[in-house]
Amino acid sequence: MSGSLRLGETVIIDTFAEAFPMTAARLLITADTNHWAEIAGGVMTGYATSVIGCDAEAGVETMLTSEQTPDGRPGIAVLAFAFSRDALEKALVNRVGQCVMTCPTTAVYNGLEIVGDKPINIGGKLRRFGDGWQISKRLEARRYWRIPVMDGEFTCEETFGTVKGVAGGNLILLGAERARVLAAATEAVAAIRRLPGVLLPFPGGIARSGSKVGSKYKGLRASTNTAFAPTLRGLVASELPVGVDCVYEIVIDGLTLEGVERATAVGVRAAAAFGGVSHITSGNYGGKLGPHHIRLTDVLSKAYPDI
Amino acid sequence: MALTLTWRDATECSVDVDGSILRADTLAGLDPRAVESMTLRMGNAVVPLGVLFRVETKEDAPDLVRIEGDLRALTSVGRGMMAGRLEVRGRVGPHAGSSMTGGRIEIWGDAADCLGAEMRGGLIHVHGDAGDRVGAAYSGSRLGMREGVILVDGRAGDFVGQGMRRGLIAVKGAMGAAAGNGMIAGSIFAFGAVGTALGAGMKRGTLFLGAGDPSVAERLSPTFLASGSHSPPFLTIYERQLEAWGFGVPRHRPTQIARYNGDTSVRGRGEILIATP
Repeated sequence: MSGSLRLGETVIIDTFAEAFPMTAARLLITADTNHWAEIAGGVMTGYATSVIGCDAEAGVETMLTSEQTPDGRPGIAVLAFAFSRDALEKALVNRVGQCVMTCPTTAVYNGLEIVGDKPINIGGKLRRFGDGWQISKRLEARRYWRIPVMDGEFTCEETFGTVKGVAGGNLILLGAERARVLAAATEAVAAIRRLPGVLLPFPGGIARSGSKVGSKYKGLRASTNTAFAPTLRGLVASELPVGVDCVYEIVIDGLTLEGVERATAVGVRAAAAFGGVSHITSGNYGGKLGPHHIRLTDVLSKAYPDI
Repeated sequence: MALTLTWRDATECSVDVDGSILRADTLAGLDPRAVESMTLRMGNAVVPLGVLFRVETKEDAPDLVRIEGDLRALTSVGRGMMAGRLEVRGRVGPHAGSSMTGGRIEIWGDAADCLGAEMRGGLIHVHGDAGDRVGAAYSGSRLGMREGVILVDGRAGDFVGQGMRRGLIAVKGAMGAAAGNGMIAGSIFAFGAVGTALGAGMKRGTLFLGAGDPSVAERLSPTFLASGSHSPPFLTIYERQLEAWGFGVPRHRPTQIARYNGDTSVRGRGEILIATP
């Protein structure tokens, strides 16, 4: 852990997060009230922490005012990531169909520009729930499906734009006291979540079961990150400095590489400023997995607009 | 430079003039002298355009063609237009924008019958009144407008959107009888009083009545069936788009929308939505 820099009491290790491209979509969910929009978004993005075991990585990006939504009602923006457009479409058709369409008063709209042949079809698949009574409305090259349901109708846009986003950005926070490391991680999450276009898919934005690729057990794609598990120190090759007894990871997905880099910088600064974190590092696979290398010391030296 | 065609005031014209060559996509960027030498049909005669219009270039707007004057004798202006901006300052004759597929026609005055009839794309905005058969099918045709947008700030006559297959017609003032007659799909937004025989024979599509007059429901054909009150989210999307097109209308919220399904004498998948205070 040489070549590091220091932010207050925190040592920033000179290493990099290894991120990789994933297909991303942005959904705008509206409802009669914020309450129901939040419920729809929360349920829809459940069980969506990691593509290691979920069909997609998804989460609420931000709340939306009635002026920011297409239908003039309050809403939320949801980001979703998967390995391919087909996988993303399948995941979102299921999630919107089972978690949003079922939720009182909701509607769903595309939140990204539609470019070329990149869109995925969600409303066009869900329309069949209308059993032939669905109504199509096309306005300015956008098609909306109105599906009759028991409280009126569920409106869902037909196609949703996708972009090649970036997934797997990460920060690993190390410290002595679990409560203080968790508080610092929570502060970093709050700071990152104020940024547009990024998603922290894990519970509360924080993962405590960081993983490594592979396992001693056949068929398992990932297993506990032994090098960062304090209780295994002495038994395995550990990456943990003396005195570190707790580690939390913040995984960052974003619509752009710059967005992930900016979120990384914001997260590092927030956690370091909060205190209780002795070291901040990042996880990588030696540069062999992902094309995007987000070096902590580099992102901290950049000036990002609107931070 | 914008090309401006000014109707010569001294022109006595007791017969129709076929204005179908007056399109933004064919005239924009041409030399005024070349435009004046083009011919158009006036009654059974063929006359140089320069006899009827003074042609000049004005302000910097390369895709704009402007026609000015009392153009009631001029038919089919912008017919089949595919792109560009055509601005008409004055009253214009029938068939303006009929069969157009793209671009924008703005009419600062009244338009006669068959405005945007059988259009397939583009946008027409009339800042005055329009005649009968806005966006409708011609006699013998099965389909009216198939795509596009027609906005009328004033009143419109009978058979608005007759046979329309897709697209949007919005009228701020009163509409005549038989709006949405035989409609196959698409949307008609009426923000003023409406005439009789609304939606007669409509198979699908939406007729939205935004004047806030619940008594209109009593005049609907019995082949339209009441299906309760809702507040469909898509209406706000349309309202906002109308505003974006420069066609501001009063917001319907928080009114409820009474829905009537019909016309059940045919396929019955259409809807008449009546905003109620």
